Amino acid sequence: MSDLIRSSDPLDPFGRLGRSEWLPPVDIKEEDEAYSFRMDVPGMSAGDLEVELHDGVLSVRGERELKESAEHKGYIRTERRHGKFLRQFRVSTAAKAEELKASVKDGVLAIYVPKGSASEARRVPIS
Amino acid sequence: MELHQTWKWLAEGWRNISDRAAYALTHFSPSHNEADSAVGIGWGLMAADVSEHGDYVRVELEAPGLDKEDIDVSVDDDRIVISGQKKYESERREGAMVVTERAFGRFQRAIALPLGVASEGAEASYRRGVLSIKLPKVKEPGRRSIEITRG
Repeated sequence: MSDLIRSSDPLDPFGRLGRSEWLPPVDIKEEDEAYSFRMDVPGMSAGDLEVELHDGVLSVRGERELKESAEHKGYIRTERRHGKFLRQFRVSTAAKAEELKASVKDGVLAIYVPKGSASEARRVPIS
Repeated sequence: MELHQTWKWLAEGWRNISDRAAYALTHFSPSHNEADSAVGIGWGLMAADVSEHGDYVRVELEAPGLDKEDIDVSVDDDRIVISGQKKYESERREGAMVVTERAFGRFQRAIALPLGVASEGAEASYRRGVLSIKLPKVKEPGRRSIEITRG
């Protein structure tokens, strides 16, 4: 089952498991004009997350901190993961960072990546 | 990974749970306590932390993307049951078309608590996709201190 994480996922060929302490699960939908991502990041806000688009690769970084407070002694069960993560996905090389939309609400990070259009062919006049 | 797989999962229920559980919890071995159970659509185990404090127990459960109104919490003697439904709806314009997506599923997770807790006086809040529940511990019924007399 751990193969699912290190997978030959065509959209996540880098499989950065080695750099991440945990990996938030993501749903990816591809449409004609855009990719949309929904990633589960409960407990995190916009300030804990970073979304970047560069050379056709969408990178999502985040850190979920373990609160250090007197309240956190006495754990009976710990399933929740904390720490840093990095997930990367290959999107269209024509996608533009300024057209990307990202928002986080109720622990879900939603990212909308328009594919962009390949540059239009120019007509070369023939004399 | 099929890109559209997840949308089908929301209607398929059980069958994909063990796959998603392993995906979400690569470093965790699920408890074999019978009071534990989990049914969910499109999620893993809905990871939970349980901590014990002076006179209360706190449960923090990951349940991103829900509406408060769609979550139910109930308490038995020694376990807490969280259930409800997950709805996802989005509407978008693509050119001349309006594209609407809807997904729906039910979930339930029961978590064994090692101590008796009371539902009276319990508090629950939902913030950033984490359901945080504070449960007062039950005082043992009929507990009295026994005086030792000289005999």
